Amino acid sequence: MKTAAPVKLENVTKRFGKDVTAVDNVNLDVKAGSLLTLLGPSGCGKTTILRMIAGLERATEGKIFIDSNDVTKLPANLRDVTMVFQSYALFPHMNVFGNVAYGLEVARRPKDQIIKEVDEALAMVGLEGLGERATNALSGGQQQRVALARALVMHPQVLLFDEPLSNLDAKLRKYVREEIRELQQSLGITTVYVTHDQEEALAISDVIVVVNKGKIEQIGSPFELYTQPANKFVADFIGSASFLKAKYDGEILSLADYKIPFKQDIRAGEVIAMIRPEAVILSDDGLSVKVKTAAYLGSMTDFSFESAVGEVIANITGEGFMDIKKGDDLHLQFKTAGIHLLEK
Amino acid sequence: MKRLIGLIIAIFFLGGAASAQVSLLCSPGNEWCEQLGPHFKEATGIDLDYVRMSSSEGLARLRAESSNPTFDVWFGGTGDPHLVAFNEGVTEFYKPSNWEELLPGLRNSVGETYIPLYTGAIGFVVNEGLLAEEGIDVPNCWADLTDPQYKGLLAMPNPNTSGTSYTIIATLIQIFGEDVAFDMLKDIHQNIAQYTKSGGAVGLLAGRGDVGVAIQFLHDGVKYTKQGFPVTNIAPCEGTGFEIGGLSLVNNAPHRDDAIAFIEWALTPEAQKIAAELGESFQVQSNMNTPVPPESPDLDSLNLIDYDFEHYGDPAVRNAIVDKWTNEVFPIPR
Amino acid sequence: MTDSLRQNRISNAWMAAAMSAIAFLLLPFGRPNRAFLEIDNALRPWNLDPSLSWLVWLVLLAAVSAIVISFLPINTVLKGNLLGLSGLLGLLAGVIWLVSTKTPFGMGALISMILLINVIGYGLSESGRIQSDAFVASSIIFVSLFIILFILYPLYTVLINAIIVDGKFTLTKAIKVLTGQRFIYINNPYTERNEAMLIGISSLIGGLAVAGYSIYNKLKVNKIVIFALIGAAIGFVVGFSAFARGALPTSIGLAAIVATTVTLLGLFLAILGQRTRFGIIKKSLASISLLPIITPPFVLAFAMIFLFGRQGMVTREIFGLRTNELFGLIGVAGAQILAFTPIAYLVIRGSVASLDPALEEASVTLGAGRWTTFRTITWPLLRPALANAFLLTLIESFADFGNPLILGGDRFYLSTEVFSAYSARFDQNEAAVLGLVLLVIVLSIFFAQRRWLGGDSFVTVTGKPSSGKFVELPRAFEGFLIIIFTIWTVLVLSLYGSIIYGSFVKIWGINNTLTLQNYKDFMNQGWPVFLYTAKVAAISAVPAALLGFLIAYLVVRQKFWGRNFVELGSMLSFAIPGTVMGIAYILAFNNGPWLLTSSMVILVLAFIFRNMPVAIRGGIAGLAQIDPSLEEASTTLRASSSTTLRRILVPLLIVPLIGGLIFAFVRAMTAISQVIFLISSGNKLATTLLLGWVEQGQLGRASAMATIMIFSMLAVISLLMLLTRGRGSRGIG
Repeated sequence: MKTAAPVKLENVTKRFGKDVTAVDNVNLDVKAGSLLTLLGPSGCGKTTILRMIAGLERATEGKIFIDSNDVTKLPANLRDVTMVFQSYALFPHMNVFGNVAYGLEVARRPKDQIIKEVDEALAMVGLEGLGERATNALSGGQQQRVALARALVMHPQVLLFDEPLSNLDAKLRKYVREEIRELQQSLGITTVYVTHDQEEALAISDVIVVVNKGKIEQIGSPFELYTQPANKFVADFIGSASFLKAKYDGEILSLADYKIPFKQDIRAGEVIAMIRPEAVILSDDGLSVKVKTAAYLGSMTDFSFESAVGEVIANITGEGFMDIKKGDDLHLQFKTAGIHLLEK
Repeated sequence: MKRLIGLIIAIFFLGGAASAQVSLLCSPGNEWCEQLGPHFKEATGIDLDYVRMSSSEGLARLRAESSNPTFDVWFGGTGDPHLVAFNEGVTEFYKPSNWEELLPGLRNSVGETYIPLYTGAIGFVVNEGLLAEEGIDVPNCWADLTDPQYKGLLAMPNPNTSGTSYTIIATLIQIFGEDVAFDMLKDIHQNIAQYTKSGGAVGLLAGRGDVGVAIQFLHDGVKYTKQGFPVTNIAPCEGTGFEIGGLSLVNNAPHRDDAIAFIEWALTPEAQKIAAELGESFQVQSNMNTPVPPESPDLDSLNLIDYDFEHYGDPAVRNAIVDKWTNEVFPIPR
Repeated sequence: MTDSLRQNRISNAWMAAAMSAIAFLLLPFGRPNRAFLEIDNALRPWNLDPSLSWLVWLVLLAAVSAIVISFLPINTVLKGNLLGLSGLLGLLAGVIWLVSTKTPFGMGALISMILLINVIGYGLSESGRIQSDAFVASSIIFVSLFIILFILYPLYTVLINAIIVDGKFTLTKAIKVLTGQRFIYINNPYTERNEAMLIGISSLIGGLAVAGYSIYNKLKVNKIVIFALIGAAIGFVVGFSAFARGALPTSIGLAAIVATTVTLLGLFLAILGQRTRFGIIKKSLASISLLPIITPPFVLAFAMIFLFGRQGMVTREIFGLRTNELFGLIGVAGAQILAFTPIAYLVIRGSVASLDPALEEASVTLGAGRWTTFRTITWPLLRPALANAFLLTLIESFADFGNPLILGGDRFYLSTEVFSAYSARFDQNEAAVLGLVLLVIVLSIFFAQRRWLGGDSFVTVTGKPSSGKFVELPRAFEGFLIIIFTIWTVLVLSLYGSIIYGSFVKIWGINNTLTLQNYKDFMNQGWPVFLYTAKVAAISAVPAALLGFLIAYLVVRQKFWGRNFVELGSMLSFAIPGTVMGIAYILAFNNGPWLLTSSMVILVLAFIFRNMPVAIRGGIAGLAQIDPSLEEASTTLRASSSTTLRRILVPLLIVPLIGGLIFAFVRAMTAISQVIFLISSGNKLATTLLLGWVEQGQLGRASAMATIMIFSMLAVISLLMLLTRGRGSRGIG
């Protein structure tokens, strides 16, 4: 087994034609053995970054390093990187075994070694004994695993995923992503994972990179991104939040009349207070609001309120809110753990 | 990549062998051409291979490769292209040792441009069965062809594409004068079922019964009769024109000595009689000592006109006549 | 693997360079005239005239320095640049020496310089100048050089021979030809009608009809204007080809009729073959629809005379007609439709076969009727293949030579006029002018097609395998298709029946005594030529199909400077009328460094470049339906592009590939126009012999040869089809 390799992007820019800048001056460090997710809306350039690491696109400017080797101009087939595609890209004219064995056959490994490694890889993804199946006889989840086995069998330095779960149904998606995370951790492969699904990103990543319009908005652990988003875009894209007009003097956060003692290293003055919906508490005093909508969801209730500083959304767990209805005047308080201030 | 390179190189190895023999551009019928190789080899021991092309294609080909020719000898085919080839320097005149044995009429007509190989006259190839079925007389004269009763039953080649057709028109002009000839051509035009692209094809139309009368060389008609097509050959009463088949040495021939040996052999009676005996070709051969085959149209009875090969072989004259026909005869609806 | 990531890894270019050097030292650089394989010691590098031979030595120097550079411990980009530079210098030096001394290239020059191109490919790839591996980089250079040398350069020589009359540039010749009556003739003073006015009226009717229809459908004003203009254009073409005379209107009208009919027929047959409920139709269709392309066109034309001529079995015996209508537009159009429908079928069949049943199921599930499903789902997916089929047949019709030659009647056709101008009127300039007109027409078609299809992308073969069954055809539609199929079958079978019958009788239609004499004659005179032809066709078909496929791959999947040039250039050879191409090859390759005439090589090359466009088109249409991520997956699994081509694309596109191969083989066996000028003694082809026999009335012998040709080609095709079926969807592991 090879040691996992770090990946580094230095000032990488990709332009298509003269006008379209898909990726704009991106710097990225993927630590060896970690799983980094590129998260962003569709068309933000995250897939292009992935394809540049794979070598399927070539950077217009900047440099890409794998294991401290400059691979910027190295053709894709000479890079020690494999990829799981959104469409799986299984070769329709080969059976499961043929698909998984393909890379090893291309590398001219001895036949018995190929059989052994393919069997191991299939076992790893839970497809033992299905080698002779035709790929179109498999379910979506199984096809996805064939694609994964095909990538893993090469023991690559870097493993890439391009929205691998988008063709699966919601339940399966949750299950498979946990499997992927488990495999990745047990094998210790450096992994770059592209998705537009923030929940997926939060669930499996060591590091998340939020990408928007070809630029990196923020890099951090799932916890950091959730609790300390760098800007409104990140806060909004990861989880949901209310964005309220506020004043901050270094000690006290003022939301209209409601004042909270709060500590954050940010320039004093007018700020935007991001409030996570689960940090909202119904109270006798605090921010005065009017109920706009209320939706009972079993374990919790979704609210939206109107206030002098903007709309507040909340999901509140527990019983006892059944009689609250549209138009009621209430007061809210916020847990400080769910507050983060953003520059205006 | 290696495979691709291997493929390319293999093509050159497989296809690169060159041939070393007399290379003949042969314009008469295949059967005649086919007989030349074995007999020439028997007589001289020299190998020979041929490619058959009509005389006009042959000229185009010789012209195109004139700077580095692959052919040694141009054998047969109507004389006009041979004359053009000579005038352009594509061929050279070689005076054979038996020049004096060749028919003087032919020799004098062509001068020292190309060697006369054979001669044949224009006439009517008639499907008498078809005409009888339609209740129509067999034509005996050029003038008969202008009769409206032949409407849709005549075929001749198109002068734009056929040397034979040009010979027909030039013949009419020489017999009747240009104005009368063109009036006749307009009347004939009304009767034509089809102008064919090539000169040989018209006889087949008559043979198969697509038309009743085809205007073309009589020796081709003889060939069709011999093959079993129900056609008879008629020489027009007003007289008729003829062609002189040519034999030329290609300029800068790759095997010049062997080529000359072939020309010398081809003009002997022994070689020339192969045409009729084995080659299904019934032209009158140029060597006066070659026996005239019994099937061949008897030239003496044909009333041959004094065809002016020099004037009508001039490309400028030819183009003017063909253009006049194309503009004044061909567009008339029929 | 980690080795490949090293900054200064050893370049594989050294192998190509070493082989180049060995070839240089072992084989003579030039050759004496036409003897390719002769080892002439006077033409070895060290025996050449010393005043210029330093150029030759540069080739060796380039190869040796490429070996050294490959092993230098320098960064790959620099290494790539140095390799490319040395390869290029060596190549240029060699070419300059050949051109300036006018020495025909020898095997040494050929091999060492081709390998230097390979070295340049490594250079371009490693320096990152071409974003792919050395295979793709070398292929791009190869293909570009091929196109320049074997398509553009010959055309250039024709052009030069055309506009330079007697050493002087002039346009008067072109003007004279283009205003001549053979070319275009609108107002015929000998008719009472006014042709120009009729054409105008026809355009007006076309425009008004379409405008009326658009207004009725309440379209927007700008659309109405555009549609009306298109309608007027169609009306003009109809009127122009109906009322005007001359080669231009005739050929345009013919091509329009034939291409429309043929595309429709091809589509019908493809749909029927794929979707019918009746297994027997499926089976018979595949073979019957292929029959006409395995026959030299003029043989089919002759069979048509016996069925539909004045004495024809059908026209005279069955319908009692005495007509010569066959000779003219009708006959040529009929023969071309018979000849080209299989081509359209082959092009369209591939995409009908690879349509995704799931899409149609989805549509039906959504409540769409079968007809709606066809119209909204199937039809748009078929459009690229249809456009390709239409384009191909349009061009084929313009360039077709055999059918107008035999059945053309009184009319002039552009393709035969090129030939007639050259070989009957001895006018090389007129031929070139007419050839240029054909070229311009075909290029306009080509560009129109590109605009039409330009933005659309049709990806239905994805890596996700689909399952499910095709939606059944509507009954009435299937019935209609079966009727068309039946008529087609009867027609084709009776034409072939008459050829086979004709081969066993004394004289077709005149003396029906049964005989084997025709086969004896064929064995005596035709058999060696036939064998030689089969050999040339086989040798040329494989590179034609592979090269065509490679070009399709490069054009569709690779980004490189000059991609449009490659696509356009490689399609050019298809558009050039065969006769012009033949003349061009003679003018270009009869002399000097590229001397190739009077050999089998030139026949093979002519066939390769003539017949690869069908493989290109088939490959492009097929690739358009394959999800590029399949190839990307292969690439990320370390496969080089050549491996990806071989192991992923070739098996997936085996149907169009075999189609291209069959087409190339069959076309080479039956080609006539481009080889009339290229055959030489020792290098004769069956079709030219056959045409000679037909022209001279040896129809029995000709039928015997045609019969043998048909059956042997049938055998070859069946074998290839069988191989395709064997290469089904099995795994390779």
